Amino acid sequence: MTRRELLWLTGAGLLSGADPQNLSYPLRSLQGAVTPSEMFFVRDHFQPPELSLGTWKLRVEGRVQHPYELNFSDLVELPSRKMEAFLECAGNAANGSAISNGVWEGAPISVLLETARPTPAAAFVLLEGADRGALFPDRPTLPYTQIVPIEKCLDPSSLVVYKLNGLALPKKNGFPARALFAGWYGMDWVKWLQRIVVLGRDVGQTAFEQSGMNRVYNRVVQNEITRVAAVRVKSAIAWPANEAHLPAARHLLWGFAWSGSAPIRQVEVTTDGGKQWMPADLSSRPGQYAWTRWSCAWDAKPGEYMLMSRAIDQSGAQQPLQRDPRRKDTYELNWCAPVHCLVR
Amino acid sequence: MSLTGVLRFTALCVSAHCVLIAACPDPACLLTQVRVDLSRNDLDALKSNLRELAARFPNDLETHATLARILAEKNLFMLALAEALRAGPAATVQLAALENAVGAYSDALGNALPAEKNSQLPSELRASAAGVAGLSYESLGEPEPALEHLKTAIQLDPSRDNSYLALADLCERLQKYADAVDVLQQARLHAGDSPAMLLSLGADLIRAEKYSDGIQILHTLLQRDPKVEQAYISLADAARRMGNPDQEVEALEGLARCNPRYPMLHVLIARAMLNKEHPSYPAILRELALAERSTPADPDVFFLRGKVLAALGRQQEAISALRRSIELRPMEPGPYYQLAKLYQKLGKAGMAREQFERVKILETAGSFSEKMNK
Repeated sequence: MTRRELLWLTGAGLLSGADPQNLSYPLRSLQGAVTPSEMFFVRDHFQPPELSLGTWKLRVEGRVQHPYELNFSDLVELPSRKMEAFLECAGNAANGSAISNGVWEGAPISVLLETARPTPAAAFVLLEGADRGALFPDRPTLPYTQIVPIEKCLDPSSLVVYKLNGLALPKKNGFPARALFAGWYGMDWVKWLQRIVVLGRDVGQTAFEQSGMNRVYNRVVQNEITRVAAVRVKSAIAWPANEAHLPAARHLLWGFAWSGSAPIRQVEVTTDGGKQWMPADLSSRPGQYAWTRWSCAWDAKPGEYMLMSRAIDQSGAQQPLQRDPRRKDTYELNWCAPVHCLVR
Repeated sequence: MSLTGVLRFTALCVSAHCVLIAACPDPACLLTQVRVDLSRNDLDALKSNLRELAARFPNDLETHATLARILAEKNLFMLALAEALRAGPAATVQLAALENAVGAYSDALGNALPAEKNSQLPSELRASAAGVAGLSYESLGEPEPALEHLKTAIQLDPSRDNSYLALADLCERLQKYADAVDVLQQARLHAGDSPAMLLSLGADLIRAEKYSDGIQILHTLLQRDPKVEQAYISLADAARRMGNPDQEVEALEGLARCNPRYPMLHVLIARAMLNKEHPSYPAILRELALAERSTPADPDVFFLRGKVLAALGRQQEAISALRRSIELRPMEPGPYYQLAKLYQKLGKAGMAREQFERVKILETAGSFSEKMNK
């Protein structure tokens, strides 16, 4: 990716297309552990499409023996799974709010694929949304697409979801159906899903490459480029806000912690910039793919402080104190970000 | 029967059930199976039978409309919606209502608006469609068309009380309390005096500052049903707005008789008692002790106790209570302010200044967060 492209990507909204939405809400405005649907973050690439339940169709095709199309009624009447899972944008800043956690319901992608009977050559799955636009100024107008290995699609936790927090998906969150890849970054959770295409090992020229999507969401470590997928272990301080002025008192610091690899085992908090760490209480049960809310009592005396939180998951993965200096991309920003505050 | 026997019997039933479904000659037979699945609460079998019905009888719109109704009665709204979508024109208003129920508001409008305008349909059905349109607009954050369609729903079927209640509820949210009162008074004329109607009317009359009328309506309601807890709360609200703490305490004591476990009840009573011209401090402390017993970590209990103890001249105990309130809710300026005043009274100017400083920090933070929220 060129520097010009990088600037284009990280500028206003993500990319081109008329009015892609870019919404998020401060984590401190959340009560409990589930993000209300209306407060879910949104990072769009293109303008949301106008879809209706009566006309929406999902086509399953490609390297399958039985390509088919299903409508919304067919989808809802398939065996379903309900799951609490967090959704994080791959470019969410350290201590950023492009992360939400909801209760999702939908049909396993494996069920949809089994009906289509993939051929032995099947290796990847292309997911296509109904939103479209030009990802880069020099690229054609194409639908939003992502390519995911078929193993991940066949995992029982990978779903085509149609419900969020008990109601239909809001339009901005992919109505009427979107992909859910639990524990993976949000770009693969293709919204306004309209097509699932099974691909062979040789992916060939798809809208994914033609649009330039293969050039973004990559981890660049020196000259090695790999695709961003599973969410790195991370925590965020929801309260207090950076540069807050607080009265000297016993305060409850709180926030959230999550990891795509394993449930959270522990969260630690420092108030002195990392010299001493104290354990936080996990106030919601860490789930396989759900975030956990944590809190930590702090007897704040007058002075200046640098707060940080650090999460450790059950696989032993620990949030790093700093960004890997070899990284040249703007994804997986999971280092322990400081929150400065003044107590008087 | 042994566990193995139970399992074998269940397996036989399941396989017999499957054979039966495959052999079903008509949709009525499958409908029966669906009812059986529902009575067993067997969602997997239910979905399997719904798929079977869709595959074998895709054009039997009446059956799908019937299924939508049966499933909606069991609150399975998403599945009901799936069937209503299959039913198509046989269930347009039903479809719109289900779309609204599951949160697909734009789709609900797409189906409700043409039905509302269709003069060939019975007016009751058009009223339902108008009601759905109103509720969907409201959910989409568009209050003006919501008001219009709810009014149309009332015009099309004036005997239906839920249209009035929905319209009054929307007026309340828009803080148009006088309009809400007008709607509910119309409702009393055309749709009768349901308890929900009287409760809303009483509360809205109070919000519209027509206190005596509101109080009268709420007393009428409580004469009919003394268990309507919210009516006591509205009566207490009226008394507070009228600056009559005696009546406020009386209303809250009525609530205590009705439900002694009502959340925050004793704090509410203590606060009302504290507003009396000659408060009985020992009685307030007794209420606060009761409140502490039910919610030991309620900062308001300690804040009010601090104020009462300060008024009784028990300064050190007051300081402890206020400090406890701060510990439980450190970002609330009230207890710091009371503490500052106490220190001032005790001649501890430096400590008072420190607390006033904290009040200032919190007030600045408050106005900052207000700005942020705007």
